[in-house]
Amino acid sequence: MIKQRHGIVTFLVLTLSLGGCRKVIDHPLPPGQHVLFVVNGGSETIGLYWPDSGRYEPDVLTTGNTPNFMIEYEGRLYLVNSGFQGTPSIQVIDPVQMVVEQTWPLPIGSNPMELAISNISPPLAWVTSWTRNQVYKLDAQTGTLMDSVTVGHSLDGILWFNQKLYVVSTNYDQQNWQGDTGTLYVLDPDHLTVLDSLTLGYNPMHIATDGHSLFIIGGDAFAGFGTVWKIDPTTLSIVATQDLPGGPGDLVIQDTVVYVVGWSMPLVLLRTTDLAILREVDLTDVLPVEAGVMGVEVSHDQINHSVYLAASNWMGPNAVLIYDVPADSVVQVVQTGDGVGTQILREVWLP
Amino acid sequence: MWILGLLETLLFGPSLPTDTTVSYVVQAVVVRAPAWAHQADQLPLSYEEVSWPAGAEQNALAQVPGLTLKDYIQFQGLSIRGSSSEEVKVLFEGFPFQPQQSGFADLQVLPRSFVGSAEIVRTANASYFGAGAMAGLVNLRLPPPHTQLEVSTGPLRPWTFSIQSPLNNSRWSGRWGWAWEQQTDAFRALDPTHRPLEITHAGGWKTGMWAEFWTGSGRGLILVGWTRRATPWLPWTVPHPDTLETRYLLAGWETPSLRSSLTLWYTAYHTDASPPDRHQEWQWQTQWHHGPWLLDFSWVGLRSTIVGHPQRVHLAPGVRQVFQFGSIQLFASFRLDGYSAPRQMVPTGFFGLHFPLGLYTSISRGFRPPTFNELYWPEDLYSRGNPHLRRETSIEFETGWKIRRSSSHLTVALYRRAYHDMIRWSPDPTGKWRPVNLHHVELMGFETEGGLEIRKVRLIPRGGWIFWHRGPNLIYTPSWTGSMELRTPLGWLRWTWIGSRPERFFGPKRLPAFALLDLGLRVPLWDHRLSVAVTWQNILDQPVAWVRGYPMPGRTWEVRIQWQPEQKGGAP
Repeated sequence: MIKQRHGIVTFLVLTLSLGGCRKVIDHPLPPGQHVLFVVNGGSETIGLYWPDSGRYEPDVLTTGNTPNFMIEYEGRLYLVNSGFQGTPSIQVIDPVQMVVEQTWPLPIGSNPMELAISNISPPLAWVTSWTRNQVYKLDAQTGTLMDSVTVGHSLDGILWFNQKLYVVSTNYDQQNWQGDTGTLYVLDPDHLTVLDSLTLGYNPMHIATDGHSLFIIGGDAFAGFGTVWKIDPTTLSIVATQDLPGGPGDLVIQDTVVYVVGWSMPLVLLRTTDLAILREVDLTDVLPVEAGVMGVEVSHDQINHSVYLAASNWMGPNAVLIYDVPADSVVQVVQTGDGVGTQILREVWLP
Repeated sequence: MWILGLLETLLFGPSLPTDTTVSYVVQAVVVRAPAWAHQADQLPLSYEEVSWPAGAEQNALAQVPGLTLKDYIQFQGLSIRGSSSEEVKVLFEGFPFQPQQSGFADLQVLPRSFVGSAEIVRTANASYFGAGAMAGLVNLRLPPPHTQLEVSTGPLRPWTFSIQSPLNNSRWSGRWGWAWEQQTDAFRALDPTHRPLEITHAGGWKTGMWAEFWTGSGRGLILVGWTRRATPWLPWTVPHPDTLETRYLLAGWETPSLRSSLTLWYTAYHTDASPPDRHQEWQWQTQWHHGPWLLDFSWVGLRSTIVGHPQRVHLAPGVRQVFQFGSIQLFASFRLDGYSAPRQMVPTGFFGLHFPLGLYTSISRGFRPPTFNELYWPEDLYSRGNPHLRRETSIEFETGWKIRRSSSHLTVALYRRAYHDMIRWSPDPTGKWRPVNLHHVELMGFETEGGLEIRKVRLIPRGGWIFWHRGPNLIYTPSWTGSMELRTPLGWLRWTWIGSRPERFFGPKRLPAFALLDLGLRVPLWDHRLSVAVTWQNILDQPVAWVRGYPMPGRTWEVRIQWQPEQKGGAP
């Protein structure tokens, strides 16, 4: 009898303790909320941050090897895993159910960098390959690799705009680790041919649009210099240029402002019309020890106009910094864990 | 058979009468283990001597509880109780066999016929074993002194050839060996993921020669090796071949009171794009013992196209003593290591108790000075060295039980280890990676190893369990390991289970667990002078990756033919 009681108690203790190990996140996520997806490159995980409640939930999903870029399209998140020490892939994530719906493998060694999706029917996904100098064309519903085109050298940013593909070729010398003058290529998506090209400056990387113009950042984070180029897509010409106080790593555009961040540079706000610097925000005092900013996202909440900054550190503390634009100050520091390497942020409004 | 007889005569001289041969072999068998090895066996700490039958070299060390392989296909390092490979001290027959530039002792530079067993100290103990023994020590040993000629073939190594033989004259006796190994790019074909790896040529070759000799006053060892192999780490970044060439020379001499060695390392990275990076390293070490006193001196000089010409002088006096209190033995040692580059002093100590019935307990300290790469790697676009780096240290408390009988033995160890100021690479405020003294990691674990022999059949179970740890993940270190080995005169069967392992320093990602089943059969012929052995590795065709991104071959086999002219009437 005593043994039986011990057995029941042990069973209960084990059941309760194992139950306590379950993730506290609710599945699916409740509708009507906006959630910040936090991609951690060090731990290769995704955490969730709820701005309304201030709660952060780590390690909700596991990414592939070396997550590098993420976009939202038609209610799905597309995460590019560059695949160091493994298979590169695109993960398609359902942000409501919080599951990886599909994983599209890409050629080993291709080191994919960024992805764009064309808003045509059927939708197509376009991925740049850093090492193969190729743009891959994939079926955006199944991930099937349909075609590829070789263009430029050491490709990075890619954008679908006005029924054309814009591809940033950094022209980076991968053998000797030297940057060079890069080029913007315009591709015909139907025939995979180069329609036009534009020579930019040193080491251009990422590209974004405000719906009218194209904005490209480039430079050298280690040497501490950078540039923003504004390009007229109709004439394919540079209409404005602005030097930055450091090497940029990411940009995002909302309304008439370009937000640029870099590992060891301030947050810079530029006017989209002429690239005039509106504000430089020194983050030195609020960054965790030895962390640098790797990613930026702007809240779509029109009431609380916030900018999220990914403060990354692969051995020490990481955080998401919340910068309040009207107040011109970092109003909150959300700890995301030690050594996780917080680097990509995407805000999603749940339907 | 007359051809074999002729070969035997040509290679080993005229056949000797059986009695003469036996006495001759016995003379060669008296291998003098390094002085510390005898002590290690008696010290109150985790010590194990691991040997393996012919054909079972692959992954043999992975069975040892607490010891983890770090296999990068063309490189293979070892980790003890969650350490990095640089934190394990590696010796060859008691002499240093570890370049100080990188600190990484690559076991792949040695032809496999050069190593017949290994002594493993899993306890951190720098006061006994010197600088570098921060996480433990592995002493690779030459094979038993059989006169032997061996040829083998298989998908992974199309040709290997080795020979070892005695070497005698009136003033000294000795033995020598030579080996050649060729490795194919079959790793690609056997990639268990069945995806085309971009390893353009993972193959390579290695060759080497060793000689061991004894005189009335001491023992000498000469080891020479040369290997050239592809380095398949680049496929994930830049798809072009890279080849690593390594040459080494180890010359050592030891007497009961003195041990001295000179080691030369030469490595060159050959690429398509640029002239090779070359590194030449000289190591001189002399240890002097007198009674309880010890003095250890070493000098290391490097000429590198990347790191420059750094040097390090290292001097360490020490004292060791054993006290007897009835049936209890107290082991005490103290050592003070002082070295240049960077100039630092590190005291280490060891206190241990041997109780009756084989029980023991000990506390000890280990340390490792920074490597030259960690200190002086020049600033490039992504990384730089850190000349202000401090040594990293460890403290270990261990208690256990060792019992040994004529046909069985059992060891059990419970330990708690704390690493301090671990050297790890991390981005600096400008984003460049450089080594820093970062973390404190603690872990507790349990290890056991046993053996039972009945009528020439041996059963060897082993197991390890790290049941608690604090700090960053112990990367690639499984929480659970287990193995079971069965040896008979006609073959062996080995099952090894490696639990899941963290693949990142932080976060929940883990490499999956796997089980390896290996089998070897040996058919003796011609009065046991000739034998044919067949080995099947990874019979279950499990996907195996010790390190992320480096999938090991799936199921494979090998056939080897051994000729041992002095064998007669039974298996060794």
